[in-house]
Amino acid sequence: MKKIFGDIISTITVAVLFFAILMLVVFSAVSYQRSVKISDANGNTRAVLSYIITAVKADEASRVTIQDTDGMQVLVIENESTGYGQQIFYRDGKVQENYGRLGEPVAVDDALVIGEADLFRLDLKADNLLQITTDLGSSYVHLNRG
Amino acid sequence: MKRERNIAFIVELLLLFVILLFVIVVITQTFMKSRGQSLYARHLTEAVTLAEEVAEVSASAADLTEAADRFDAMEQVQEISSLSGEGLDLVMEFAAESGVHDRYRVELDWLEEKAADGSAGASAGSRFVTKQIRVYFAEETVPIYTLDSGDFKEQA
Repeated sequence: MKKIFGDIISTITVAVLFFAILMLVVFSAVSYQRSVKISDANGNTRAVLSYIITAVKADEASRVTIQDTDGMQVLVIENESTGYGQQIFYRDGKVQENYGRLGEPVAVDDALVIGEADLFRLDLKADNLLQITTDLGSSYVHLNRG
Repeated sequence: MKRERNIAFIVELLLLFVILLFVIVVITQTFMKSRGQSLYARHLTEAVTLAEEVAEVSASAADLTEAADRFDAMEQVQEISSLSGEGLDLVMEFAAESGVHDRYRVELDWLEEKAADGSAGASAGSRFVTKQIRVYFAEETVPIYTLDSGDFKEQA
């Protein structure tokens, strides 16, 4: 009887230790997953917005306008000295850019993808304040020129 | 003899159990600290973003009153009040993840350059405005991020 009791105790102890190790592994994995998720969110959340803001502010001499082409909003960063401009627009769930001649239709098939988004909207809040909104947030850009 | 072996086994088992507990505590603390660091990184990133937005909006405004009007129209701004007459105190929300809204307090100092005789404006054409933007997370008293900025404003 005593031997059986001792065996049961030993088995339960080993089982508890095994369960404790298993819970430790699960807890570690969940914690690491959360940390990686936060880290990824920090890096990727505003990548599209940051790229567009950098493009808008890159050339002080450029004129920034919002054009409506077939119902599609196009942010045009014009370089009047060259007659070309950077065109940023939203199509098929992706924010895309193209570099083309001013005044001509946007060559959507030649565009490069900046990033994916569920929403992309451009608003001129004032003559010199542009708001860019995506599903991951919005940003404001001060335009030095009209 | 058999009894001594049983006792030795139990003692060894207890010792290993204590060591396991110690390892569990250390690993748990490591991961808790890691999560804390990740959260701090997220808050810092959000604070930098908010400071940039406040800088951009204030740069687009001709004066503090116009800046206040533009901040009032922003969706992220929950409250706005004057800060000692030479700045603004904003309460802003940042939508971090779905359902999570981090709350920040932003202080904007707006200092216009004065001429040598103390009158406002250094020249008839324009004036230089120095701005400092301090972002505080929730109710903390130490700013998590500070941004110094400045730009020329056309004289009205």
